[in-house]
Amino acid sequence: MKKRGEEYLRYKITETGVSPRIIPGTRGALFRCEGSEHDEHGYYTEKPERVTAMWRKRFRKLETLLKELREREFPLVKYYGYPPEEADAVLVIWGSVKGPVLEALRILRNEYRLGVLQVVLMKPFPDKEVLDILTRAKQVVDVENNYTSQLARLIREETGYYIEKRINKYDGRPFNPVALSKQLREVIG
Amino acid sequence: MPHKPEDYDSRRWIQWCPGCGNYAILVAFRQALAELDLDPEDIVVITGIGCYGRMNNYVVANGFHVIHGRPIPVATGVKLANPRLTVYAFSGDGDAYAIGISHLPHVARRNVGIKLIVHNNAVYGLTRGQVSPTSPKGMKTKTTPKGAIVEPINPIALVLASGATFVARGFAGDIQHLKYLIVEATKHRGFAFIDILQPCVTYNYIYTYQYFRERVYKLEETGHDPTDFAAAWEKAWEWGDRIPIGIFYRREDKPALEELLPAVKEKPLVEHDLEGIDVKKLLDEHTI
Ligand SMILES: Cc1ncc(C[n+]2csc(CCOP(=O)(O)OP(=O)(O)O)c2C)c(N)n1
Ligand code: SF4
Ligand SMILES: [Mg+2]
Repeated sequence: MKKRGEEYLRYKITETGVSPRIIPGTRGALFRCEGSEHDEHGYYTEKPERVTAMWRKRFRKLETLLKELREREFPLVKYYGYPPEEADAVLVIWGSVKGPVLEALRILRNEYRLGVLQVVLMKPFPDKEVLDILTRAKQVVDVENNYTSQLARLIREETGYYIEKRINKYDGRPFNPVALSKQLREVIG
Repeated sequence: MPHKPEDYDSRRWIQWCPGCGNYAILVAFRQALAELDLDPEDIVVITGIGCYGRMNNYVVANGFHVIHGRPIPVATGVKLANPRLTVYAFSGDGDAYAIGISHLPHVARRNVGIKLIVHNNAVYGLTRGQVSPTSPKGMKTKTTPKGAIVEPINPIALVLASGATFVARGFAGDIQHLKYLIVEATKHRGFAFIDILQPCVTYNYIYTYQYFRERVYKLEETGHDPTDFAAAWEKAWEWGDRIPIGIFYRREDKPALEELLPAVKEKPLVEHDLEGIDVKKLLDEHTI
């Protein structure tokens, strides 16, 4: 027997992975947000086929999101400077490194033709966009304000592309454009 | 037609150990909902992590099963977004008095109109029997093999001292009394707190049904005046051969937070218009 409010499925399995959402209090529907694995109603479940279906739905949602962001021309990556084919090197960055890197580009404008790839979205990862630029570049340098090259690692995980040349700064301070220019000269050669 | 307790029964497989005190709390809760005759759409059951955390699965209502220690902030958000909903936050002694304790004095002080029901079994049940903030001194657990060496916390006194306007204790061995407490808590104007002595038949060998049956007595049967703070404070510290259950303290003159917040007072957040918000413009502005 169906219970009141159970016609609405909080975790309805759909093609896009997105389930219609209501506001709690809506008549004839119950909003059941479950932390453990659940069925379409939002009730706890351990049934293997339901668990499998829910994992697929959940990750389908990320594909839908990436597709929609592409359709809406959301800037998943940004690009500055010379196009990859024309650049002596393409610098890969994320976040606040952008400011000093663009300033270093200006300092080095008479020495090198440089491009900058800024990754804006990390999850879902814009694999096609990133790979397209990296495979067209003559030389790639990862510039990050951390010890482990977090973005370079993510790029390798998501695309298989390994960035060998890296500049890391991890002394608790942001990049300084003049010092960065010197480092770039050494790395690019 | 008025609601019956079984209208709130989601008919899901219940996973608690046979004999667990949680069953009685679930039954009392469904009975209280029926007595209050609430529509499932108007009820929100919020639970954290612990054995008790399955409560939301066993009741026909809106439900949120949230991370460990956070039923109070989520319940606060729900209540402020839509004060017309009746919001119950279920928590455990680990959830409410250990990892999530920072929320407790503040929700009491703010008098948010949510109803907090703590399944206090004086042990971490779900993770298989570690010491909790209410485990009695000397109790042997997985993490205190030679017995707990420190005194337990006093939740009733803590919540009273924080300015709560409804403070009660129930016992999972007395469903009728528990139902009465839940009904009164729901009718209360602001924040209501019920600590429930809940035997864990698997991991707590001290706080058994028998232990409590021999000790508990009802404040309602002693002429205790719940509007008398000094009397409530004194009763809050009574523990041992005699353990009071019932309503320690209650005052209805203090407005609930949702009655005071300007943004909510005029119109519930839930009624604000979400059309015409251009997210792309914001993203363009704020992505570097
Ligand atoms: C952030 C976080 N820390 C720790 C845990 C592990 N954990 C799960 S339940 C629990 C304690 C549960 O005890 P209580 O709240 O008393 O609930 P009971 O199981 O006794 O009903 C702990 C520590 C967790 N799930 N999440
Ligand atoms: S471990 Fe204890 S609290 Fe958890 S279900 Fe079993 S008896 Fe109940
Ligand atoms: Mg517990």
